[in-house]
Amino acid sequence: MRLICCLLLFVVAGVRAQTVDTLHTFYLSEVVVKSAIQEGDTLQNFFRANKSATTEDILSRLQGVYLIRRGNYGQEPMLRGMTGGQINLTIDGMKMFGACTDKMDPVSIYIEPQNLKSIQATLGSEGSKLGTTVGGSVDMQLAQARLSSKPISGRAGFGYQSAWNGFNSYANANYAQQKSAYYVSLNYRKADDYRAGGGEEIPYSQYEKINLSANGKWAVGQDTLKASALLDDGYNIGFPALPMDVGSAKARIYSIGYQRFRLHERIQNLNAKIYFNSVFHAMDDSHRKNVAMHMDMPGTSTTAGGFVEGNFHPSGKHTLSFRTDYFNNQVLAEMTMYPEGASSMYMQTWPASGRSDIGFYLNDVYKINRGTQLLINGRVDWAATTLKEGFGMDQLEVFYPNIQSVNQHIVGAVNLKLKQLIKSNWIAELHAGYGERLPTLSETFGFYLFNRYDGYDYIGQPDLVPEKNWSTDLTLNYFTNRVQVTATGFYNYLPDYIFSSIHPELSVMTPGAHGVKIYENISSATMVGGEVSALTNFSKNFQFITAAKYTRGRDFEGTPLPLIPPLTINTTLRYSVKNFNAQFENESASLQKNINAAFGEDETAGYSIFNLRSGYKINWNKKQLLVNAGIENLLDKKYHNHLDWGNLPRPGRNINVTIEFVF
Amino acid sequence: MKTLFSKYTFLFILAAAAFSCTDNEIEIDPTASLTKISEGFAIGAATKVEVWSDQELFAGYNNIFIALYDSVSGNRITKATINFYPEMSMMGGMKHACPLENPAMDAVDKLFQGALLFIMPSGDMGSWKLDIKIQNPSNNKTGMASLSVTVANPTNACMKSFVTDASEKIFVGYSFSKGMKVGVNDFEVMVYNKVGNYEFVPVENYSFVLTPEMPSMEHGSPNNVNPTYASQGHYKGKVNFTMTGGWRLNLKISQGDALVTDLYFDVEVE
Repeated sequence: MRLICCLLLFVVAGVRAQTVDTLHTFYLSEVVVKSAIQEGDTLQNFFRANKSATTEDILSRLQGVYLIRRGNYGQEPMLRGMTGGQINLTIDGMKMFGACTDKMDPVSIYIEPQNLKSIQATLGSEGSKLGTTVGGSVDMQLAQARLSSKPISGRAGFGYQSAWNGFNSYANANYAQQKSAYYVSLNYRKADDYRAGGGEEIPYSQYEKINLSANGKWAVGQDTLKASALLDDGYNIGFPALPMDVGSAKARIYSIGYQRFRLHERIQNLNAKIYFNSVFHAMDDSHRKNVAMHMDMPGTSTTAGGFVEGNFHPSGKHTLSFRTDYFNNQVLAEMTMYPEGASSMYMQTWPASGRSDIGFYLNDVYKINRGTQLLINGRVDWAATTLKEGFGMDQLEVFYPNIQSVNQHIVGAVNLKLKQLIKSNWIAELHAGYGERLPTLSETFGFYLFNRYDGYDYIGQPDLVPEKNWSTDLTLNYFTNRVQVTATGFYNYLPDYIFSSIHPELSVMTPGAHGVKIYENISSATMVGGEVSALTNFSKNFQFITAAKYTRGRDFEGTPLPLIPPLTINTTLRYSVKNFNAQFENESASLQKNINAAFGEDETAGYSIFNLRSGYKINWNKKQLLVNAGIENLLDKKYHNHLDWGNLPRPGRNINVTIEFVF
Repeated sequence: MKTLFSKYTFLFILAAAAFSCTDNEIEIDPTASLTKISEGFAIGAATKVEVWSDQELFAGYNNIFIALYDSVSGNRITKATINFYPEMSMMGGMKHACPLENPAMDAVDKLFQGALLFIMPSGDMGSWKLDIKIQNPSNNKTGMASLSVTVANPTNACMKSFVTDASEKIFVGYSFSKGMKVGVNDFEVMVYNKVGNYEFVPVENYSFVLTPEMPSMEHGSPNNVNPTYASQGHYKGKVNFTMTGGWRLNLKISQGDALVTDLYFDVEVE
C-alpha cells in the first residue's frame, strides 16, 4: 500500500496498468502506477511533505531516491548514489536537459506538483525504457485534462512557510465536455532567505517563480488527440552553496500527442508524441558581495523529439510493451568576465554541441503461472554526439588538437527479473541486468567548469566511453492484512565509471580554484546497499510506517566515492479519524564517515529531526475545504545532510499552513 | 502553338545564358582584404607600384604586398626583382633603416609579398620613407619608386628591443600568420641584430620558451609550442588562447644555456 502511495500522489487516470494484477503488492525498486487511488486520499500525505512541497521534496520520499542540495530550491535527484547523466529524468516520456553548467537546473525544477499526475521511479538499469541507463529513471507524468461528466472541477490553494517567509499560491481547473477537455494550472511561489536551526539566516537563498500550464484532449472516434504547453519562469533563485545565483531560468515545454487504447485485438495503449522544449538559464552574481570578478553566464538547451509506444499481447501469457523514440538536444553555455581595467573575456563553458539519439525498447512480462512471472527487457540506443565547428571547437583544440566533430556510440541494456509468489504472503523478486550510459555533453566537451564542491575547474574529455553497470538485486515482500514489510539488497558493479583526475600541469581559470581536473573513465566502481520498509495498520485509526535506505559506493581502490548518502530512516505515525488526520514524523540520518577527503569532503554528523503535520477536511455541497498545518523541524535543530553542498544548514523550525479549496 | 512557343522561349533562355557566360571569368581581387598604404611610379622602369598591407603600417612586423602595373598598358606585372629601402630621418639628423625581407621574383596571386619590421613609429622622433627598386626582367629596365609612409605607434607594443651582454642591439617582432583567435594559433617571432644603421642581420641561434598568460586572471594556457628557428630570422611556434580578452605572451630568450633576456608582448584576442 505504501508503495502505491509513493507514486500515486495525485489523480491517476487512464494510465496503462502493469498487468501484475494477481500479485497485489508492488515493488520497491519499481514504483508502479496503478489506477483507483482517489485524489485527496489520506495516504498521499505520507509522502507529500506538506501541501506546499516542491516536486523534489516529494521525490525524495521515494525509496532509493535522495536529493543533493545547493540551496532552498532546485535540488538534484539522486537514485541509490547515482546522479546526473547516470539517471534519466524525463517529463511525460519526453527528454529534457538543463541549461546550467553548475547543475542548478535538473529538469524537476521546472515542474510544480500542480503539473503532476504521478511520478514513476525505476531504479537501476531496469529503468532503461526511456533511455539506456545505469542508475535508473524518474518520469514525471503530467496532469492531463480529464473527460468527465462533471463540467468544471479544480482546486485553488494558498500556503505559507515561516522559515523562509514564503508563500505558494496555486490554482488549477479542468473543463470537461463529452468529447473534449481542457486543463489549466497556475502556480506562483516566493520565498525570502531562510532561517536555519538556531536562528542563523542563510543569505542568498531566496527564490521566486511562476508556472503556467495548459493542455487539451479531444476524443475523435477511437482516437484521442492531445496538446500541451507548460511555461515556467524562475527569477532571482539563490544558491547559497554556489558562488552564483540564478538571475533567470525559463523553461518551455510543448507537445502534441495521439493515443489509442485499442488499435487491434492484440495491440493496445498506443501512445505517440512529438515534443519540443527549451530552457534558458542565466547565472547571476550581482547580488553577491566580494566577487573576485563579475561574470555573466547564460546557457540554453533545446530538445526536440518524438516517440511511439504501446503494448502488444501475442499470447495469453505474454505482454509485450515496446517503445521507439528519438531526440535531439542542442546546448550552448557562455561566460563573459569583466576584469577591472582590462577588456572583457569571453569563452564557452559548453561549446555549441548536441546529441541525437534513436532508441528501441522491448519489455516482455511472461506469466509463467499464477505465482511466477518473468520479466525481460532490453533497449538499444544509437547516439551521435556533435561538436559544432567554430569558437567552441577552436577552444577545445587547445586541449585536443585532433578533436572530432562527430562521435557515435551504441549503448544498450538488458534485464531479467523473476517474481515468485511464495506461500501466499511472500513475494520474492530476483533481478540481474546490464546497462550502459552515454557520457553527458558536460563530461565530453565541458570547458573550465568550476565545481564548488571540490574547488576544481573541470575540462571535458571527448574520448570518454560509456559507463557500464552489471547489477543484481533481491527483494522480499511480506504482507498480511495489517502488515507489509519489504526488503531489498542491491549490488552494482560499474566498469568504466566516469570520474576525474587532477592535472597539476594545467593552470586554473577560476580565481581561487585549487586546480584543474579532466573527466576520465576509471577502471570501476561498486555500489551496494538496500532499502527496508515496514507498514502496519495496527488499529483502525493508526498507521505506522518506517523506511530505511542505505548506499555504499567505492572506487576500484576501495576509496569511498564522493556524495554518497548515509543511512537514512524516515518514520511516521499517522492518526486519522473522519475528516481529521495528524502525523508525527521522524527523519534520521547516521554519521557519514565514508568520505572522499581528496574531493574536499568532511564527515557529516548524524541527525534526527521531528515533524508534526495535521489536516482537516470540510465537505459541503460537493466541494471541499482542506486545511493543513504543520511544524517541520519541531525542535529547531541546526543540521545538514551529507549531500548538502558546503555543509549548508537545512531550515530550522518551519511552521506551515495551507488552505485548499476543491471544487 | 503553345508548345512551339515554349520551345523557343527555352532556347532563347539557353542562348542568353550561354552568351552571358562566355565573357571574362570573375576575377577575385587579391587585395580585397588588404589596406592600401601608398602608390607611386618607379620612373625608369615604367612601372606603377602599389604598396598594400594587412592594416595601416605600425611599429612592428608588417607583411608588405606589392602590386606592379605597366605604366603604359596597365597590365599587371607578375615577375620582377624588388628591393626595399626603408629609411627613417630622425629629428637630430641621423638616419637609419629597419629589418626587411625582399619579395621573391615571382608574384603569388598577383602580389609580391615581403616584410618590413619598423623599429620606430613616425612622429616626434622622425619620419619614414620607403624607396622601392623595381627591375623588370621583361624589358630589363630598372626604376625606383619613392614613397613616404606613416608608421603608427600601436597601443600594445609589437616590437621590442634590448642590448645583450656583448653590446649587440637586438630587435624582436612577432606575427600571427593566420590571425589571432581563441584556439590554436600559428605564431612567429622575428629576431634581428643591428650591425649598422642600414644593416640588420637575422639572429639564428636563439631558443625561446613561450608562456602565454592573462594578466588580469593570472592563468595561462596549455599545450603551447615554443618557437623554434625556421629561416631568415623567423622562429615558428604555436600559441593557444582559451578565451577572448587581454593576453600577455611571455618570451624567455636564451642562447645555448645562457639566458639572454625576458620580454613580453600584450595582445587583445577578439
